[in-house]
Amino acid sequence: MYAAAAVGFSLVWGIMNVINIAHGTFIMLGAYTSYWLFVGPLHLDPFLSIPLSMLVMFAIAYVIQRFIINQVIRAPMLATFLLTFALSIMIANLAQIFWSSDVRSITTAYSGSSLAVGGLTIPWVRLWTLLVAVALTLGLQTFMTRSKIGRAIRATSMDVDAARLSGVGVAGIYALTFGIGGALAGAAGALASVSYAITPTMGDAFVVRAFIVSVLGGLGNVTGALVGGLVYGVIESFGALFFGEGYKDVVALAVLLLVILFRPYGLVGRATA
Amino acid sequence: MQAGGRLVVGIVIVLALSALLPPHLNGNWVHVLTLFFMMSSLAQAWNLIGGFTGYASFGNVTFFGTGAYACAYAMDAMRWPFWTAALFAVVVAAALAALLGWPILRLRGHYFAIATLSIAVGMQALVAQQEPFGKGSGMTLPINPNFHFFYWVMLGILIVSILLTAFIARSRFGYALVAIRENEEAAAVLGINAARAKVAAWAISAAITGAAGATFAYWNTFIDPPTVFDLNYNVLMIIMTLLGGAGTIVGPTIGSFILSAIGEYLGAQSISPWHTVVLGAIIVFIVILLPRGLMPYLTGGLRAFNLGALRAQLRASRV
Amino acid sequence: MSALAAPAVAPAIAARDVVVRFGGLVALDGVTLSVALGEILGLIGPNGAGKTTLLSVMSGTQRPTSGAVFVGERDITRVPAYRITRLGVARTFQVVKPFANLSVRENVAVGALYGRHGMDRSARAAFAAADDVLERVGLAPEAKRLASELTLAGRNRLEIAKALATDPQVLLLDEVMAGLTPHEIDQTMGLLRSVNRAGVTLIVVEHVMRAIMGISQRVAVLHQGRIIAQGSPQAIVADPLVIGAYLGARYAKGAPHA
Repeated sequence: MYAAAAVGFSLVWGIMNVINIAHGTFIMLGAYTSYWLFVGPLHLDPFLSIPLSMLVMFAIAYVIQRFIINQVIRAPMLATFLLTFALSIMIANLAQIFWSSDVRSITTAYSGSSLAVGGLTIPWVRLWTLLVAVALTLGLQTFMTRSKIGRAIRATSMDVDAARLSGVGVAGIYALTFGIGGALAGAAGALASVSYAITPTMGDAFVVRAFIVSVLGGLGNVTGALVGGLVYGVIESFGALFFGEGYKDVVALAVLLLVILFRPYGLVGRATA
Repeated sequence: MQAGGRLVVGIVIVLALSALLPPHLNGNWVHVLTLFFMMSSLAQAWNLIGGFTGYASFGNVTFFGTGAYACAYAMDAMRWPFWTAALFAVVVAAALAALLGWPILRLRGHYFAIATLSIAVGMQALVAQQEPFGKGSGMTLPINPNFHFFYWVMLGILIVSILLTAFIARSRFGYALVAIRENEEAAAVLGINAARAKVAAWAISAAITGAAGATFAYWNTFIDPPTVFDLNYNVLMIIMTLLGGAGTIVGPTIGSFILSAIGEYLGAQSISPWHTVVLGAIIVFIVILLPRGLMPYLTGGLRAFNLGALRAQLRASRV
Repeated sequence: MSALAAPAVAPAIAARDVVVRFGGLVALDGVTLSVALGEILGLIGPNGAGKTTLLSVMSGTQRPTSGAVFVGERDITRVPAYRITRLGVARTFQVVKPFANLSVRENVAVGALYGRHGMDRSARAAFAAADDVLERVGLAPEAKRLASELTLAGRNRLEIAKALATDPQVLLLDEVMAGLTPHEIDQTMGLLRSVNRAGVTLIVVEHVMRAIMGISQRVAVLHQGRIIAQGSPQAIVADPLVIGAYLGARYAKGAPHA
């Protein structure tokens, strides 16, 4: 789940050098999309609504980048940081105004059931979440390395001016990248809708974790985010085990600080410019 | 510079005169103005590290919380009087900034922002686990029924922070900070010990923030981690500073005045979602259309408004 | 290596066996170079030869992988950049680094406030010193303008002014004549000669051959991270090794270009 939440965040950060604080609210919107599709006349299963949720969030993110964030994309970093923060509090509070702060949840037929392998029981939901996260990550990785658009995106991240000179529409590429980041947040939201309580502020917890996972995995490193997500899950569990449940976050953040100070290119990355 | 200098003197005089107001105000206005002085002090403090030195700290609220807890602990557990406790809080906050700043201020840009952000979040979680600080349920302080007292203390902190900023801006140290903001490597080859100057700036910033936190704790008589480590304080410090003009002497206070006035108009007492939506819209407006804050307009009047320059600047900042 | 005798007195600044590696790339590969007090040394070499890296090592903005740097007899290899400046070594940057939002006068004053004599004088005295420097480099008329408003030539001159304001005994100049008109080059050469006459040792990195040959008492050639030749300007132009490795390649391609 952490990996799914972080992949889009890491992509946008790595490619565009934008820290999207609003990523968490995108996840929230994705979760609500799945929720409305579930309780609506279609009664669509959250796992099946992933593509729709992705589509909706792609569109929203694309528009936000194209018309708002793009205005200051080359300004000092504080500008984009604050802008996405402002968007996130606006979206979260608008959600609260229109949908109230009631806690909602999705209960499916398979919600309680698990797969028993030997002595281990794994809830089906978590298994499916893991599989979807891996599939999305691999899909994105393939898209970025194989497709023409993916290559244009990576070229833009390396040198904006060179990319422009070779005929890449940079503004469009950025909007597309941000849109893909949004779509991934939408997918993460759909996944979250099954196992987390759905509220307008549910995204906050995900942003902090997306931060940590992205840094652990290395910025913009798609498969790194997957590894980072797993590593983070382990660190959190160990933190809780050795220091007590209350220290879970403290340990995770301490690890984040150490990584930033000593391995800013991530655990799996290499020091390259 | 001339017009700016007059503005600073004018604002300090108005603030000093406002010390005479409390007997003529009802309780609600005393509260509103005390809060305004507090937020202005926090913004002035942030401006020293974020505006002058160019290090956008998302961790300054840590010093607010640290100051509040240090004061609460000194007054509650050690039975110290407020002034001693507040002094203790200032020292603790500044020492913490120096300790954290030494490694953290080597980071730049996003990494500095994340590191400070994680310190702010981590500190809150850490304090919530400590038995002497009442864990998550917070601490209570002795009650001082004289609310005018807090009005005067917060006002004092604000005036001191403005005068301190004015002094620094004209000093050798101030030029070092601005040089570091503009280009750290160039500053170093001119003989500036950047590491030391940055840590000193953050420690001074933390001292002011800690003083405000200590006063807040006594004022509120109750503190818990989510209240005094609230990241929204940090965000407000930044927004107020940017609105008024980062790296200027009284910009943060002006920005704080405007935001406080808007907040009051919208009904700041009840935290309504619409209030936050409007705050978000204001941030978007400032970031895109007022990257230098209001200061050019305050010193240059409407002559500072230049549609062509604004469009050129927007063209340069987008792709 | 030319058989130039080592100076009898301690050199103003010297590098000994300096190696700098960036990952797999070797930028400097065992450079030994010393500059005598009051000397003007020209440092030339093709792009990527390591000239800027050598200046960075000497000014403390780049730590060498191995080797040592001396100012006088003092080992400054591990000394931070700001302290090296206060010891009397100043540098300019090829990619100019003005403090864009400060006035030209304030830019220069920062050097006077924090340079070799910075701590001994008041802020007022530092600004007076800055005004003197602005007068010397011909930037006095621009003193009140923002550094960001200067022309390219003005910014190059501001780099020199900032460095001079720190009262250096050794000045490291990184392509301060790039992009200047012939007239402006003459002016800068005159300025550098007068700075040198006042007793300042100069290392001048430059692509403008006319300037290098005209001003240097000695020229060292850096190629692929090594000093391949040093000697008088006349000897260097005649050195077949230099012609092959550097001048030949450049002149074959046409006009020198920064």
